[in-house]
Amino acid sequence: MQETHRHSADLAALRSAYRLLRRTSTLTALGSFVVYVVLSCGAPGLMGSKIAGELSLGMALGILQLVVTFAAVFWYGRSAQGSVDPLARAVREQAVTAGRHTEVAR
Amino acid sequence: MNDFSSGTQATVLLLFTVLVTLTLLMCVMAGPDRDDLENFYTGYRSLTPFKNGLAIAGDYISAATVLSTTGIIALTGYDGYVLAVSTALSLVLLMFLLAEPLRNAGQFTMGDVLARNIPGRAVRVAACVVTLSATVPFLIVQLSGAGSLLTFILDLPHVAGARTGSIVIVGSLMIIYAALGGMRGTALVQMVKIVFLLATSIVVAALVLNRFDWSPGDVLRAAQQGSGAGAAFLQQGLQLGTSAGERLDFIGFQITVVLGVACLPHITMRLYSAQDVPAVRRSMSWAVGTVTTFCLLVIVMGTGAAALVGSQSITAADPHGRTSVLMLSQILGGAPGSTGTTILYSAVAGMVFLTLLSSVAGMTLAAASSLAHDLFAHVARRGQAEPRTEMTVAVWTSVAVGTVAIGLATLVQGWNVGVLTTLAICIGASAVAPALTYSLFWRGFTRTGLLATLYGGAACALVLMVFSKAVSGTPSAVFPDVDFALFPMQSTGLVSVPFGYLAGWLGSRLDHWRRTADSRESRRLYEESEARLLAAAE
Repeated sequence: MQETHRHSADLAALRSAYRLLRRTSTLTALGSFVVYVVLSCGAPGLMGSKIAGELSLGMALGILQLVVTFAAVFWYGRSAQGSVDPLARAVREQAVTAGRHTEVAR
Repeated sequence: MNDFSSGTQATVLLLFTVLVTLTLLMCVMAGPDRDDLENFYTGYRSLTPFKNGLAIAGDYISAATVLSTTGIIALTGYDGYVLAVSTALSLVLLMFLLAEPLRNAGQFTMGDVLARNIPGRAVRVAACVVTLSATVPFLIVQLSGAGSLLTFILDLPHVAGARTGSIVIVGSLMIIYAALGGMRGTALVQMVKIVFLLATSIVVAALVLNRFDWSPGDVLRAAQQGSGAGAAFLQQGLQLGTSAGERLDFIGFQITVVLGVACLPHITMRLYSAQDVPAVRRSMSWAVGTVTTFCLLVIVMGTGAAALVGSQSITAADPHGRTSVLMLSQILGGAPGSTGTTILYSAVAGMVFLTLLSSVAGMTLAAASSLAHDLFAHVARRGQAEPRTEMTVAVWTSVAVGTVAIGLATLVQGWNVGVLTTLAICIGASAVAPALTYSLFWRGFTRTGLLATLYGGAACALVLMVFSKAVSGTPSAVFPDVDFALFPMQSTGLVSVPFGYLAGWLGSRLDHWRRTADSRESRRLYEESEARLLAAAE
């Protein structure tokens, strides 16, 4: 009984850790792109302004998004390793012990 | 338009033969045993994350990405840059949002993911229908493109017979790869392709920059001039127009690309073949890194094509600019007939050929797996099929899907089939993406909701697409002479994506009121499998 309780607590912790990671990363990626596209269409003058030579602000932002992608993927991997993986391991291990106790091998 | 000595043609043909022989050999050597289902569908999950990541990237960068995106950048500048960014970002979203739970929930196909907490034959049928309606149009586009491209590359006479011949040859090869190689075989072909593609693109991009003494400003100046559009080349609007409605259309299309492309079944099926969650994460990191690098290179190549080839010559060869990479390589090599030109042109032609072959093989495999696993094994045989039988069926459905696609591609080769790419992406964003997100993250999702999302989202995208400006009413439409365009946009995502999500939500609500027992059962199954979904705990 106590084991099931700990199991569901761990699962809940894993669920919310995943949710937090998922929401921050997805919303940042999608949000920045939506802002970029809407700005490109809504404020072409601003995005077309030259910042260095022929390079316009819009182009620079587009290429910046691609470059930042590498960092974002690296950051995602690091945070997932820190926050999600230990909890997932705990849930897996408990599932194995619980399966041994009740002999309900799925 | 392709003024080359016969020496170049001979080199290109030789390279094609070598590529086909090598990849076919790899496919046969790596292919699964006759009755080994696990091996056919996932290749035993034996690939390292690095190799699997390259295979995902290989599946993701289809011939349409290489050829059309370069063409769009060369012809429309800024709009093409945004498309390159959204293409890369779509895979990032797949990694952040869906990849890890998908790996845990899935076995072989999308039907396995969806039927996890909502079992039943209707769900399997719907999953198969949507898989087919998202992959087959994409397949037809690539195959009919193969027809016109091969005639261009090999300088065959531009008659229907030569194009049909090319389509049949590429199509037959694709069937052989998919049927003999399975997941592991096609993965190897995808890896060879992506390495070849990246290497060639890096050389082409470096040559472009070298032409302008590594000064991006000079490239951009020359591109503005070559495009004939001047300063408008570096501003949004050349592709669809600059009125408020056309800008809204542009925004809608880009967001649809971000949501839809990476959800297409031939991409997600590669995730099931990862070993575990950290492996899928590393695979996706490699895939995203490769794809992003390639998108940066595409930007350079497309701009280079505008600067060096010029939009007049590009549109003269193909109104959509799909031959711009090839034309760029002809110019970059130096004098016509020189060794440099021969080598560079052959390399780019080989890269295009290999990309075409491998992307159509991946899509055929996805469609065939869904037919064999969802429709045959789980609907016709109610999950009681012998692995050996299912395997045989999978091989034959590859042949069937391939043959149907070859037939359809031959039929539509004279049309502007680019609209089918848009259709596939819209179905991915309005049916596949909502079904997967709801199924993975919402415990209140029920059978009616799932069916409403899959059929409703796909039907909405299809119907709106038929009545869109891309099909009739505009000079560049499929039927330019008639006008039944009731939906004033080029793509349907702006309406059909919200419709798909809304249909799923309303359908599930309906089940909560009408069939409480059913909806409680779906919730129980979701909660039961949650440990597996999140932690891969059995």
